[in-house]
Amino acid sequence: MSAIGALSKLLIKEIFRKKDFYVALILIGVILFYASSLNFYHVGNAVRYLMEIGLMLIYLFSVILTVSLAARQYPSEIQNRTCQVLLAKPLSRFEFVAGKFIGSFLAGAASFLIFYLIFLGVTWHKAETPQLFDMAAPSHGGALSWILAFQAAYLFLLNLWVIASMASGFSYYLTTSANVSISLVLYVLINTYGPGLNSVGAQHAVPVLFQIMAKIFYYFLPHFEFFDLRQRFIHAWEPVSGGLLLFLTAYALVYAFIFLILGWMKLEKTSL
Amino acid sequence: MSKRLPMLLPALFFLAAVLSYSIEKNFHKVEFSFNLDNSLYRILGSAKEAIGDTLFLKADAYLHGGVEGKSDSGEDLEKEGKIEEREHSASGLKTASDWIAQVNDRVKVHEHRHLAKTQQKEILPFIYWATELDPHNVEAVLTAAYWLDRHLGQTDSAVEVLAAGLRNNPGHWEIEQGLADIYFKRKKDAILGERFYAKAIEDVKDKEKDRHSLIELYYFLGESRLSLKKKSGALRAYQMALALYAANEENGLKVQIMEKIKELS
Repeated sequence: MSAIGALSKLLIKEIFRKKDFYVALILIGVILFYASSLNFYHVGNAVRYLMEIGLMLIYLFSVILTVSLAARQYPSEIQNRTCQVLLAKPLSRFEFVAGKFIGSFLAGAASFLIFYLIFLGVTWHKAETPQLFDMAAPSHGGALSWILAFQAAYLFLLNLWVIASMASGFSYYLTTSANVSISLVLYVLINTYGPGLNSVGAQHAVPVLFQIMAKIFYYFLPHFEFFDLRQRFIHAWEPVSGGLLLFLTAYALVYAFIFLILGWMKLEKTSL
Repeated sequence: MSKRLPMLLPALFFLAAVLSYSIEKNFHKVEFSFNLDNSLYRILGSAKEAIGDTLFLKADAYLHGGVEGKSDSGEDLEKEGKIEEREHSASGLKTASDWIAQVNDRVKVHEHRHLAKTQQKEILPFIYWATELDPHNVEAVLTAAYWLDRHLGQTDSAVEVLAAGLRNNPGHWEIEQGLADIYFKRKKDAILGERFYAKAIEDVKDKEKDRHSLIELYYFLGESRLSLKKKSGALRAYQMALALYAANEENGLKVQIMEKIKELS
């Protein structure tokens, strides 16, 4: 366990040593502050557009940072010939795979939480009203709830958990650039078309091969759209139930386990 | 090659000078026709109209609590007097076919509700960008003016939006009608009201298709003239409005117009 922790710590340090995080942070900050300064037709305090832009940016950058970090871990260890040194220590191959994944997730999560705090601060400032955030469930009066702010963040952390495990698992099979591209394309495709894949698979006008592929994608790939609570958060709908949160936590854990097992199986077969 | 270079260089310079002159000349033409001063155009190119239209639909989704596809082409945005605090609609909800769809249904919201009065300002950024990106989207211009004037108490901003819309769409009668309505009904400026009603009537192209709008325009032209004590002009306008009705057509406005004519005759 301490070996996994030590590996993870290294990755958290790595993300804050690289320029990528700071570039994303500055970009998010500049766009958010600029967007919050906009005033439309002399009517102030419109915040939902700001939330839309802010959440889109921080979700996007958090995913990119996490995927790129997770995807380069194993290939860079191989390239720098440090993998053999690491595995010569009392560190099992599964601990190596788990350590790399947990480190990538924690680094991505730390970046996301920093972005998210900035986002909440800017939104709060723009709203200029103490009623913006409310401990209670949101009402149609417009107050947003801390519960939804928490739920949106928690579900996105689960999203990072799955995407980090996917990129981490793929890194034992693919080169860094191929892994980053495939992971991000799958992420975007599933997020965008995931819910509709089943109906594509049922359409007779679609070629059989595409029908089968759509069905496979629908049932076997993780549905990242499950973790996107932006619509509820931005438009002040009711929070999701605790039962659903528990289910989604289990869903994320299962998928992470599957991807890590895939990575571990490959590493086990590889002679270093 | 090195011997020919001194001869080639002046020729190349001459060619470059001719090219730069013709590029410069054509550049100004391009700048004029494509409005390069518009920074949005420079960034987005001709995609900006498509983005503008998408943002207009986004405003419609915002009106329905972020639920997309609740009305076609943002028509609800334009409907008057139909703003409810909250409205749930079971219709349109499909039964989830499998567990993945069931989870999606519980995460995403598909219910139907309209923005509360205090939250209606939230659609403004999207309408603003829609009109900025596609100034020829008259529907977006009219919608922006409608919400600003009727729901958000920003009548002056509505006038600004319509005036800009008219600059970008000269001779568009619906924008002129919007301006006339605001000047006459809200600002009680009968002079400008009369001017824009008259201009709108002049600019209606399809008199048969827009017959009911034309009747309304004539009626309010008469009203604005009446408030300016131009009785004969008002009578003419009412008579024009009445003439547009079919013989067997009966409605409240027709009765009102007939009473006005009787009064002024």
